[in-house]
Amino acid sequence: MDKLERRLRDDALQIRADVSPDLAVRIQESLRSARPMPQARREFSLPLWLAASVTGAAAALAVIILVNVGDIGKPPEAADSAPYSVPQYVNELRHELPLRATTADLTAPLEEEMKNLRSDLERARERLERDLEFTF
Amino acid sequence: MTAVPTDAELVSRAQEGSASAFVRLVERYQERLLRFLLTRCATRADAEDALQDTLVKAFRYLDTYNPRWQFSTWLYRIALRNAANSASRNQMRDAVVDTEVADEAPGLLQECIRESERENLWLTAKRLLSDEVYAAMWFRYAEDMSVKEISRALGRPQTWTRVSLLRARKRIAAELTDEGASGKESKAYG
Repeated sequence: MDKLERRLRDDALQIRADVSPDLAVRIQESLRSARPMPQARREFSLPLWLAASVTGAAAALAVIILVNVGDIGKPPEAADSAPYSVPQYVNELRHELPLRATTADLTAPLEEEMKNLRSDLERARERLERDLEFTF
Repeated sequence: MTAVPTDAELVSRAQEGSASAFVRLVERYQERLLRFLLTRCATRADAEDALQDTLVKAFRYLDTYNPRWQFSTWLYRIALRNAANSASRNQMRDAVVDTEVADEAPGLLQECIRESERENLWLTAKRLLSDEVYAAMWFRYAEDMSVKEISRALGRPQTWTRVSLLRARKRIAAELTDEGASGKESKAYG
């Protein structure tokens, strides 16, 4: 034990914590009136928890079954048919519009850059080959 | 000469229904618990209420105590929770009370410390450390708990406890060294 530990221990004992006779009586009284949590109640808590889980699972299963059975009973036309009808004149109003759009030239600078890079690369390769020929 | 029964023996007897065994446990721990609660509660009355609650809860839920851990660890865990409840009640009360009045109230810990020439280290620790690290320090150095038990009591990983204790020691030691530089303390701490 070093000096700091010893001092911490000693200083803790310097804190006055006397339990007054009044407080001691109060504690004894409250302990006398307190009842330990009954063992039976705690033992019952696990089956209760289990029963609640099983009931929940059974209810969920029942809902799923009921929903699926309800779908089976429905006529297929009713399920597949559209909920609204399209009037005839809508097709008449539809016109073919000629598209006169030109593609935007947004990629041109990038393509130019790519071309420059390729030529740089080619030049570098040629220079390297030349250097290698000089070396060997 | 009769051997002093261990905590485990007393707890076992209390769990079997012996009221006298639990009373012996209460007598063994009430002062230590109160000392700890006095460092965490705002007033002595709060600390005494928290002590009473702790002991009553320990009695009520004694059957849930797991003997794998020290009885003191379990007891301090309950005490910590009661102290936290007391603190939150006080915060709510202080929100209503005029702040000037609340600021004038002297610290409980200061009141409970016997007069000494130098500052009590637990007051220094209170000034420098967070509540949780302060509790870890208290368990280690005032209650002599192991790191494992402290971690259990605080619900923290053991690494956290180790690192926190180390840092807290360093902070306190640095504070003492600073004091020493201006006064007569030595540099033998840390």
